[in-house]
Amino acid sequence: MKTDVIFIDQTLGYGLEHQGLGTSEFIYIQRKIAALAQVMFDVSLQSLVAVLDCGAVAVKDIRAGIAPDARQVALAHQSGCSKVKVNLNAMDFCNLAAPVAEALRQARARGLAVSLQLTGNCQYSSARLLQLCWLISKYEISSVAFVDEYSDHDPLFTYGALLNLQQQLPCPIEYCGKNGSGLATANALGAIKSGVACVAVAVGGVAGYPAFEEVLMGARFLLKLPLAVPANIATCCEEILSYIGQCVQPTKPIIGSDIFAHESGIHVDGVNKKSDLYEFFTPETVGLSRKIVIGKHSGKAAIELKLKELNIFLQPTAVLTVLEKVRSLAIRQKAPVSDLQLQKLVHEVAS
Amino acid sequence: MKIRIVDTTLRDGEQAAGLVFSQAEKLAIARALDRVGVFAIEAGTPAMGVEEQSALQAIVEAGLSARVIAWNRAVRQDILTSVQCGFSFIHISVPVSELHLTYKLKTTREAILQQLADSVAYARSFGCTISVGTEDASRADEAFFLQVAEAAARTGAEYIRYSDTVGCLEPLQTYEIMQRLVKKSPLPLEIHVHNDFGLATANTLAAIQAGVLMASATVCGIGERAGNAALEQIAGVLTELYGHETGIDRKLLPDLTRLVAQACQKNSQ
Repeated sequence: MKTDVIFIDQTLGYGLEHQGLGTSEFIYIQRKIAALAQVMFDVSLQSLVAVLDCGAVAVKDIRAGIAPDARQVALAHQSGCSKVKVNLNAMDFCNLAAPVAEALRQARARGLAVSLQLTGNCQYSSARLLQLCWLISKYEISSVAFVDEYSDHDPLFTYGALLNLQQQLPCPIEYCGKNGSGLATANALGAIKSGVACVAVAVGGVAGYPAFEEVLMGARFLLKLPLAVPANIATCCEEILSYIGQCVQPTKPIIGSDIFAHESGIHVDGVNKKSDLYEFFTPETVGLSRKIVIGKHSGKAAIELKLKELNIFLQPTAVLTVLEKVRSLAIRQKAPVSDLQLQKLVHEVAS
Repeated sequence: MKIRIVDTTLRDGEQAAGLVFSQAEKLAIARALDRVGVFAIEAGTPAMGVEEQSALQAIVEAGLSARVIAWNRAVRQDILTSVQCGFSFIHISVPVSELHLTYKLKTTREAILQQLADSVAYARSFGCTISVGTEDASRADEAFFLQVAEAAARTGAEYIRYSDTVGCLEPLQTYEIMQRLVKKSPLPLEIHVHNDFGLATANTLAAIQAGVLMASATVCGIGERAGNAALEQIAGVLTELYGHETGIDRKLLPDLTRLVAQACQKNSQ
């Protein structure tokens, strides 16, 4: 496994294309995303040109997505880009059409770092792999990105296929998972585990890319890579998403506001004794806080904990009576019991 | 290959903080799960109190084709309450990681094995069919998990649930662990995972690729913290990518997910 993972962000490009971000928003979000981890931004050339027309934007970490067309290569170069990603169908590279070959030749002549993004399945025959190797060498391709276009990869396949491709190809490999089957984060981690150092991600998993925050946290805590996770990652991701018109679901892994909310008796008792019994990472790791919810599934320990917070003392038998009333009220109102309601119940029992 | 889906929307799903299903909603969801074709419905925890018992009794008496299971701690009174509710399928859960044994229950491996054996025997004495759950198995010593499986098998349990309680598995690791356990476990395995890293579907799938034939899930992936593996996603992936049979009628899933989504709406106070 490479310890130096580069996250290829798709959030900014999505924001430009779908939310029409202005230059100042573009710069702000770019900075925010860059603070999450080591990042390169994939942005379509068309969107990039539009934002460049509106003011100064640093293109250093931006890679322009282009069609295999010499005019687009020239435009990317004029725009100050040093990196381009050329989209190629996996079937096309075997018999390169003249304009495609010319685009690659132009890119090479202009000193651009060219990545090929290959759509289609990444299981190639030996003959096709040889052709790909030839193409990489002839046009000095910097990297090849494999895309799970139809969301039909699973982590075992991704791991095995990319391990094999890394042994066969004379340039670094990138992986771009898609979440149509709910496996995007897992596939990105499978790619990293196979040795791939560059994976496509998008904050909150927008546009069906692997969720940036999940891949970063997974790489850090499950694959144990020495990556730093910003302590404010949850609020940072929420803010980025708000700029592109997205909101965070309360139970969204890593950044959802309710992922440290506990109600069930066993869990509240557990986190009260030792938080890692029911939390693999602490709320502070991602900049969230723990919530104890009182409701239908509460147990005695949760009521005792809440009463302590509210500076209320009750005899153990009275706590059990309050607990019964709490459960009953939560069922009746089909919602948790608020502190005020709990205090009223305590008053009823005490009097 | 036939994969059996054990739905736990009404038990682990409803444990999502702040969520309450009414008795009528629980029954309607159970009926809808049955229509969809799940192998089993983990309906809830009778030990939670009389109102829950009443809701669960209604599900038990609904004459569903799916198994209707009660979740229990390894505690005689809990099991008795489940039996009195009319359950004949009893799930008994014990924690198995050192972390849980030491800090939650302040007990030992030997004591938990004994407690489990006593509980299974007690439930069996009522003629119940037993499944055993192993809380926090993904952070437990594999050898101890197998000891628990052996104890469960000896006392007559039918299958054992491997729980990734805090959602800390990643798929390649899941695959390796499950490959070993499928070979060594004296009981068939059920995989039960949480979605803390967004990997619940992938971990369930990896376990099945390793030979596990039962998977736990909840509708819309509802559950503690970031939730559980989502039934509709698991059923889709298993069928679409691998051609496995799940018994799930996917045409009926939109109605089911709509029903659960509606039931998840909280009343404003």
